[in-house]
Amino acid sequence: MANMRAIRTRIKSVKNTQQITKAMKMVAVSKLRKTQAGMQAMRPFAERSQDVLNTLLSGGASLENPFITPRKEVKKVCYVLFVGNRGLCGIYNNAILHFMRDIAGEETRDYCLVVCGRWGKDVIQKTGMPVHETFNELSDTPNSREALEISEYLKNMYLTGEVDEVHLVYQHYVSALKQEPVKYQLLPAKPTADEQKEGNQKDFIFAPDMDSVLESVMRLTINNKILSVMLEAKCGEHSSRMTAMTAAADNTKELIGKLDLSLNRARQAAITTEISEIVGGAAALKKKKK
Amino acid sequence: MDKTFHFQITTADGAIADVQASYATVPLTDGEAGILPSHAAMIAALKEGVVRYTVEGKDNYAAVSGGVLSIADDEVIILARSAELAENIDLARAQSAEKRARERIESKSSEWDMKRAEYSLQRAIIREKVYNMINH
Repeated sequence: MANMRAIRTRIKSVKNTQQITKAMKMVAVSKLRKTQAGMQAMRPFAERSQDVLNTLLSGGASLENPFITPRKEVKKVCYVLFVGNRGLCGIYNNAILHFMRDIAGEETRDYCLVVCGRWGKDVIQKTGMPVHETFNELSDTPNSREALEISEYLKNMYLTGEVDEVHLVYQHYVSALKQEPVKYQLLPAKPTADEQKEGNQKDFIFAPDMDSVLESVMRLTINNKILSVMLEAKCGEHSSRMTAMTAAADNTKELIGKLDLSLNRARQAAITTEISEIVGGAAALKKKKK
Repeated sequence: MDKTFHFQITTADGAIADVQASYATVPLTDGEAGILPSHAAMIAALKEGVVRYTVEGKDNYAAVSGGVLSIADDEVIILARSAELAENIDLARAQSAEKRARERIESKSSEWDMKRAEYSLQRAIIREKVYNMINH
């Protein structure tokens, strides 16, 4: 029966799909774990830099720093858009792109885009937003070296006066099941001191002076922020891919069940027809004999 | 002298050294500085260079590329932009980075690229220097 053969082929192909989705889910899980480990590893470093920053701020640093002082006139804004490296991760990429388009729609100043991630070159181009630069060589488990590259690029763009503000647009990682598109102003930075830790007052020696220490700390803080955003965005990508692939694997299971059922039905129907043909034939023969 | 202080080099990828050291030298922006136990509280900017620290009479080396040094209560912490221990340095990679940077400087492209190339050249040279310190 042609019908039965068709169903069998279909089941086979769905099974293949199931295998692929399962494998992709496993890969996403392991990458998610790695990325989370990266987040853990950078936490003490981020805390320490914040400590130093706190000390500086409570010591009455002047806060006159090119990274902090806002420009009087903001001519051009740079948005750094963090997308995934590939699709098949639910609405992750589309949601952040949509969010970006909303921002761009409201933006009255001149702006440009820096895209971090391999996904959606054509889609982003189609939206008509001016892409200034694309970092598409980023790995799925970001490290500080990649973060430095982006961070140096942005700092340079800001310091040379090419842009007057830098914003990061990314999916904030709330939980494995929930990500939220957010916008964060990277430059000019608004360093804030932790209120709780101000008991730790000591007479620090600053070498060579407060301003250059502040400059160094700000550079570190900016690098940190980029890395943490990259990690967060990746965590979100992996976990939403994980969810999407789990759903896909479940769906294939269901589909295979349905196909099995219809295959059995088709087989049963075929057997029934065959029997009734045989019975009919035998009856005809009997009649002839009479 | 058995007085020691807690010495740590951290980068965004995690701590690469976390030891009890008796002496350390660090590259401050205004020159090399030595640190002994009971150092006064200090926060300083670091430039790229070589960090040397002595643990149980043995010298260790690391290459750092800028960052911040913080000393408080015998806790010496280097927050480095990036850092590598001497034994983890890949000489071949450092050499190829040096070559690349030199080529870029010779090609004389835009000002920014020049600065970057000079910077990476400096880092590559430091990495090689640190590598040679433990392998000779």
